[in-house]
Amino acid sequence: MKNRDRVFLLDYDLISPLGVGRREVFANLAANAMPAGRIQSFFPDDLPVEYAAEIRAPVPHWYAHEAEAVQMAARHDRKFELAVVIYQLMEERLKRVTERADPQRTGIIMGLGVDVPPIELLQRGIDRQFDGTDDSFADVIQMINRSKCRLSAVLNPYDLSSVFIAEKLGLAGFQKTVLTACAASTQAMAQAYAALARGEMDVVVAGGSDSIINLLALLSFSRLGVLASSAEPGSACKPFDVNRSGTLAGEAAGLCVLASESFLRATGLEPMFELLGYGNTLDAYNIAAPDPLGTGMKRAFSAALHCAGVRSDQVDYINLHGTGTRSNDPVEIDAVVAAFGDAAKTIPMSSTKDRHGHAIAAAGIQELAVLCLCMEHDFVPCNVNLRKPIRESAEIDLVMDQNRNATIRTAVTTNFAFGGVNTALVLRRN
Amino acid sequence: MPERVFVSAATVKCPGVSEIADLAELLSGRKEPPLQRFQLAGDEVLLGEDVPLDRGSPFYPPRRNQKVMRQEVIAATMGVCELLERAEVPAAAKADIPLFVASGLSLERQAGDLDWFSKAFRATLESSSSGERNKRLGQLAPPLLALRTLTNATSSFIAEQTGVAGNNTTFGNTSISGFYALKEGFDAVVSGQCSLALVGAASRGGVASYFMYRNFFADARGWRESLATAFLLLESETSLHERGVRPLCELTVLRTAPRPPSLTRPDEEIPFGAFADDASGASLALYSGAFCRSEHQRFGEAVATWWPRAESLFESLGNTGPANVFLGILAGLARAEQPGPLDCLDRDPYARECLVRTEQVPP
Repeated sequence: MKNRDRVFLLDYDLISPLGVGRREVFANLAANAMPAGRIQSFFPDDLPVEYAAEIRAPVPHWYAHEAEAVQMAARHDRKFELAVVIYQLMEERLKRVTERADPQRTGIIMGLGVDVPPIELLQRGIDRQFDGTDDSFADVIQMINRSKCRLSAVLNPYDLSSVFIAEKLGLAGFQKTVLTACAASTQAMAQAYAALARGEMDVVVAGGSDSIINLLALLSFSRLGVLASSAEPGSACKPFDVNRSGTLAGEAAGLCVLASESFLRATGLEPMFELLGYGNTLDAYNIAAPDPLGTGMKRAFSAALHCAGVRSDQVDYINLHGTGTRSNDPVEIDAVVAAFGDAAKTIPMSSTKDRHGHAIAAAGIQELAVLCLCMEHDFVPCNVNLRKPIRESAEIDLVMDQNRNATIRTAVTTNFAFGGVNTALVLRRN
Repeated sequence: MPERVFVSAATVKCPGVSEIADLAELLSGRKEPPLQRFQLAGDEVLLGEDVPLDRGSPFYPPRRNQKVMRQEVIAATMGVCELLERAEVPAAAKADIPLFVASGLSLERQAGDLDWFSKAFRATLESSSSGERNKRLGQLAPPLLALRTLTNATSSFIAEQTGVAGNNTTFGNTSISGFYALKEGFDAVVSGQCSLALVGAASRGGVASYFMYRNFFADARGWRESLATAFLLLESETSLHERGVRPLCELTVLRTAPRPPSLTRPDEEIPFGAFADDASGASLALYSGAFCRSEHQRFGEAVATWWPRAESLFESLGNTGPANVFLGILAGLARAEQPGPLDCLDRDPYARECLVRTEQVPP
């Protein structure tokens, strides 16, 4: 992109299994808190995996003042509920920025996960009305779905969360929803960067919301064999360990406020970080597994560094995708070594999914928020459950045993998705 | 200096349509609407679900992929394979081509067939405890359910089958997402980031979509939706000259209505009124976005107020979700005898509107 504007991060926040809000999240990160436990949000008895990293804090009070239709949708759709909560958590801070911008030059991009029909809600209707025929199934859905506005109890367009926040803040430029699974919110921030860098927008709110802690998602992911099984939930997910067996189901929502340099100059607002660039590629290999050669991942890292104008030896920390699955972790490490070369030996890197779980479409914003916290606090988190790394420490600096204190000025965060989507972001502390 | 952006190749697959010329037949009414009638929760619904796919084509997916490919994903993947072959894009260039896709609802195969969910709910009725229910659901769950419902399946299979592997994303899932995908590719070419970009949409429509959007409308009579996929190869003027390619049309204006959408506020905006000032510059408007007849009439009356001529594919295909804007562009190509710029207008259920202007390229 020629003559691009610089892009800055003004604010961010997160609701995560590690806590509600930045302060709580960092306190738990620093204490190596492991929030995984037996699922409490529904009855998980006899599921292949009965535990997850849940957000245990009660949240309905965050939206108790909203319209009844919004409350109804939030009660039935965890993704939307968490999106509403993160908006409420940040509302005043968001307005302080967006109110200073031309509404037509403000936008929102959210990464969202797949829709999950609320089986337990439907079950109540079914118990009363379902006679086993397809016609009565449709009647049940319609009965539950009855509503006098654009919100449904059964299925809503994925755009629901971005439209909700856009309406609250008057974001008229665009309201986009990105649907690229585990890379969705990472891509949301990459697309926000692109819109700001080319001068299309002045301010973009970017982030994501997702939860796979529901019956349908747990069954689906269990059948794919990607969820870790262990008697000890806290040690189930072991990214980059030879004994890893899968990932930890999670949930999260987060937002960040990105703005162009010209907007900051006009308003005098102070940024926290600069988003230096991104890399974004496709594997073109297989829907279910990463390319074993890691070509697409490597190209994403290299493109991100090139876009950012940063040499690999200038990177102080990498927050890896590190799911703890058999297929992802070794390919990711190979791609890092290929992209960063000798620098990989000395750049501390870790995945924090063993702590907060895999929030799928919200993984990108959760891990960007964690990265920002680490950069603010000169904190390098260790892979808590890493005992026997899949690669020798002479080749790569996978942080293990204990957290470190080190200045992180420039850092990379990355996420990869089913379908072979690879996205990396480069961030610099301002 | 910004690059001019052209459409140099295109593909479309939807009920009754396997090439651009078929759209002209549908628009003119010479071809019967390929829709089937269903009764859903008291409404009569017209759905277009059968896409003509050549199972003997070298691009028809291998058996191992068919298990996880929804119908619209198969159609989109085959269409893009054919498009790239026709456009003679060099293999070496494919890895860097950006791919921006808009996707409709990805649950259709389950909710549409009503099989897995029906069985699942039967299981819940027959279970005496949550543990028993969970066990039975676990036994019933298709092993590849997570992949079959993957929201970015279209881009994944297009990449796998064609080698296209550049910058990318999948937007969803109301019709405005088609415009966002188009705009992302347009901006990449206009800014000189790339000389070729693939943009398009795959939308399933159907029963689950009906339940998703039904609440948006007080009067659902005449509900029409179709499965549709449409993709465009966008190309810079410089690249066209270098490759000696004659484009299908030029994209000259891409705009959205400058207002935020609403979840709860009644839709009182005059459809497409935000673009009224543009109307005099176009010879024809192709409009889309309606799901039901009353809405279609409302859109048509508004468009006819400002544009000299207005047409729509509603009678033939109904709403095609994120594919709307692409079908509009391609229907414009099918109307090649129409002189002057052509405006494609679309409106999503949240009243988000877009305008895309195309201009013919002189011989």
